[in-house]
Amino acid sequence: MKISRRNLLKSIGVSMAGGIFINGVSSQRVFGEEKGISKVHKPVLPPPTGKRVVILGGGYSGLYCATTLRDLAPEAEIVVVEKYPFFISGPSHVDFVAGLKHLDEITRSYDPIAGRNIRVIRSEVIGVVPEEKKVLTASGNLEYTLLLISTGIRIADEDVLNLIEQPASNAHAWEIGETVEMRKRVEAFTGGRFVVTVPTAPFKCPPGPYEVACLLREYFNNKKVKAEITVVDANDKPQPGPLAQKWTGVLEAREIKYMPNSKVVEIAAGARQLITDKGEKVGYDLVSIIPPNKAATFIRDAGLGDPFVDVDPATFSSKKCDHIFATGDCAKVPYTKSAFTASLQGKSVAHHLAMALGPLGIDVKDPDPIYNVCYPYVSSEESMMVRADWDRDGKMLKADADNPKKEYASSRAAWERGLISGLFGS
Amino acid sequence: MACLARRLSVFLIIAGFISLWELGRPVTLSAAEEIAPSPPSFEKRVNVKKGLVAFVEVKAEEPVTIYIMYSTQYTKYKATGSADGILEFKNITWLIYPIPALMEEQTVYFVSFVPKGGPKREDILLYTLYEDIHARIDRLIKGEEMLRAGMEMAVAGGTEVIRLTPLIPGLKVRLDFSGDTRFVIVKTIDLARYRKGVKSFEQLYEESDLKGSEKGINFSTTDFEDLYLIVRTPGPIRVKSAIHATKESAESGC
Repeated sequence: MKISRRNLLKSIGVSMAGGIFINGVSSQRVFGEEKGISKVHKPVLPPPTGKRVVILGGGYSGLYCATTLRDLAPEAEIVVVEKYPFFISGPSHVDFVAGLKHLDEITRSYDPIAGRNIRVIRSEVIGVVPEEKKVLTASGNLEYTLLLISTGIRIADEDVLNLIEQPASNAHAWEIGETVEMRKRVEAFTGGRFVVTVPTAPFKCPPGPYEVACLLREYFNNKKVKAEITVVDANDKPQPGPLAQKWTGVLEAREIKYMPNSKVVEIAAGARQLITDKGEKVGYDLVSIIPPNKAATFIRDAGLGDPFVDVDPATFSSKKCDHIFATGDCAKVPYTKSAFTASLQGKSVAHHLAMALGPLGIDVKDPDPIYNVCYPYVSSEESMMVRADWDRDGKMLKADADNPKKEYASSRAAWERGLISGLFGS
Repeated sequence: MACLARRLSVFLIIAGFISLWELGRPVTLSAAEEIAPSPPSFEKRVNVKKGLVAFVEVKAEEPVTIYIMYSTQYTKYKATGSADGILEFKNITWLIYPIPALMEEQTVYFVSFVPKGGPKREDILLYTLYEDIHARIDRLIKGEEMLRAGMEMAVAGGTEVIRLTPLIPGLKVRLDFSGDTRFVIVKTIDLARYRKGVKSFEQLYEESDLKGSEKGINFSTTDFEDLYLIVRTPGPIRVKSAIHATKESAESGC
């Protein structure tokens, strides 16, 4: 899709038709004046006096970019736009759902980030106008010199029939509000059929759905709740693919029924049934549908890629606009959609942003290549280990995996603590 | 058997990848003797060493059902005879299925179920072709196009839905039908609407860009979304799909 003001207007039109008004400007006026849409949209900040890098998304990727760039480009103005008031670490969503952690253990204020001369603005991104180097947010527009998009994934509820009309029928561990709701439902579950569904790859945290099934098997057993657990998987094998053999053994040992190649296309909440693409009906008493994972719609509307931002995996630079970069789950890169690679991508892109900003008096070198380490739970006491390494161009060099071990469960805890403390200090 | 092997070689040459693999010797599947399911089943164990991808090709004169299972699933199947929760392909006459062993050695069992009066054990051939994963990615990135998956299935007539998966951006998909038919290719949500009766075949046909009433279609995938082929045919036909990987698909992350 060509990047155009018309496309952006279309997307804004949809938002506004849904009731969102930008600083009191009526939809009639906006639709009536196609030219200068960003002019009627009041600025959040005055135009930059120097070089301003705007980072969309205050997750691992965005924040590691911001803090690394702060060191590499001390003179640059750095602005992070984030829709949530607090940072909540993603990998522990499954811990929370299974009762292994409280949310306060993994929730942090953005104050330590702001304390490093990084401006954090709470707002929702509505659109990007690449030709004007402007971001439109629900609070106003924002001009930039360079832009990083690291908004993560969007859960595409609309791809499962009836899910938009019956949102309360589902809960999962892939978004924070849903995660809290899912924990409540898990605690209230008194027995019966628990079904977790897996979308077609790629999706955020590939081992996550199987971890949830395994951890809840243990939780229900400990509570002496009789549960028949089923994983309904749109893929032909458990994800990530290289762990498929291990996962099938793990699921089998825990009497978790596994249904490969079965994509859930509809929920019939009244009948407590899921319908697969084969027309099979799967009954449930507690359900966790993970809908397809896509990037935010403003990315497609700005012509930057669909369903993810098209970037060069070596530099994270957009293939459509040289002043736009993208990292993490919203970018089309060969790296696993995990918190760990997101953080390394954030550090890496900071170097490329610093180089793109021009001479700043600091010798910026090419960043290290990306790798991933992850410790998927099979129980509260044991995790597997998986590691993959890529070269600078995103080509996978080597990969390794190991069977469940107790020491890997400790490694997992240290792994996430390290990710959090790297940003917030504790 | 020689005839089948020759046909396979011709197919490989046509597909342009005879040079990519050392062609494995065809083997017949061994009879599964420990249990006595009805209909009979034949099986073959495939081991793939770390760093390799095995492309397993199954050819049958007449349609069979093929199950692909990992060791633990196979153990359960042998103990109980249950194929519940196992990857299943129905009415298959030709299948190419990749088994990558990126992180560790993989062991997979192919089990063919044969309907009464169907092909005999000797008529079901299995070829295993191995390739180094990194060498394959290198060749893709240099611009070669390589077969990624393929399938031929028998459709009895009427309406049949076939899922085209897994799809990533940049794949080249070729579909062939042994007879004239009407077909349309839709995304998941439209399949759901079709199954529920919210949209008819004719409506989908009207709306879709990927459709036809001929003997085949070529198209390239643009994203990760699953696609479904809905075929309408007055009588029995065979539907064949061949999915080729390209440089773009190699860079897409899957």
